[in-house]
Amino acid sequence: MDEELEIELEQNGSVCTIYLHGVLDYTTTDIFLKELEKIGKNTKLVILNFNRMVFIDSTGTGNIINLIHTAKAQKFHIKLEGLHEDFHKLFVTLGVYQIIESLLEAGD
Amino acid sequence: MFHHEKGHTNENTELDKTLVREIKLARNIQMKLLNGDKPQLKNGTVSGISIPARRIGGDYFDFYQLPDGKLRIIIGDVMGKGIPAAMLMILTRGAFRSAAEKASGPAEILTIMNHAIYDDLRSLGSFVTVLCADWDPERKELSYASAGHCLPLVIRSEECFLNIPHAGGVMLGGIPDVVYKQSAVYLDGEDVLFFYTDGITEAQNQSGDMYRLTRLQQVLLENAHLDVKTLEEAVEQSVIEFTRGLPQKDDITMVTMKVNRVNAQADCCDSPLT
Repeated sequence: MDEELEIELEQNGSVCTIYLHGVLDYTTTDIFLKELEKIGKNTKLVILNFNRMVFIDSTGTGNIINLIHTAKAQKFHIKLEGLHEDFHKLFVTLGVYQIIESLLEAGD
Repeated sequence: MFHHEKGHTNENTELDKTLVREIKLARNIQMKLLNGDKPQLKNGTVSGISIPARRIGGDYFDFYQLPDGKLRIIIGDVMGKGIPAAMLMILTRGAFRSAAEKASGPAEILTIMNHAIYDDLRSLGSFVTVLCADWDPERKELSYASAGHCLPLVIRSEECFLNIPHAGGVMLGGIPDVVYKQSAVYLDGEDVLFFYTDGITEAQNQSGDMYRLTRLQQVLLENAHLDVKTLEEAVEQSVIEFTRGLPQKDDITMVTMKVNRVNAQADCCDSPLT
């Protein structure tokens, strides 16, 4: 089983794109959190690219939820892209899109 | 220097023993809370089992019988693993027990629970998914609401699954002041209800393949004629065979209810059962 997480972070002006490769779970959560520290101060949009992510558990999902709450507090937006169907269904069931809509898009 | 290191090692050994003992006690508490007496249904049966991936886990199920004969069921999955998840499972259990006494239905229970534990979950950066359902044996109606949890499977007559109405809602700890909605479905005699956590469908074998919903559905169809306890054992055995004993990352929890053709009614009592 692939237990690794590799992250590429691209900062283009106020847009920060984070590419997740591998497993985002309780064993790799520290890698993810450490990478988030590199997000530029003037970032207005964080794009999380899940195209090469192979597994996410509840701890990994919790990290995404916490990032959404951070985005609300620090006034930047979050966009999720490249989600495979399984992950998309999981996020629908969990209500991740509802959280984004409620916290980041309401009143836009 | 040698004596200092030796003393340090002895301290560590003593600490290890204390931790092992306390983890064992915590596991006993959790198993006791989860595996208490199951409600007795007239002309129906219900069962539940939780198998932690580690010594203790964050999955949760519970029952609450209402004086009018309805049975309240909840199943949930706390974010994370092990002891931290187990602590939040206890928090969730308390919130459910409190809400179950006063709420009119599953949606209101989830609304009250989210209101009660949202701040705690947010401050801890955590969340809980739960599915709550009320079984009304008089009307043969199952009403249910979801906070980020997968819907139950309804096995109809050993041949097919019933498509039940959507009842999606956000996880507990996701949004403050969220109001949940509920759906309902009428059950036929001998339908089997199966609530579960994703530890079953996401169980992995050595190749990294997941057990998935299709295997679960197949096992349920093949064994729907069995009593609830044996049906759960069949599911557990199927997962063990698939994973070939590989240690799993996630807890496995299931609640099974079988309704017989004759009028089913829960034995009434005012207090929680487990």
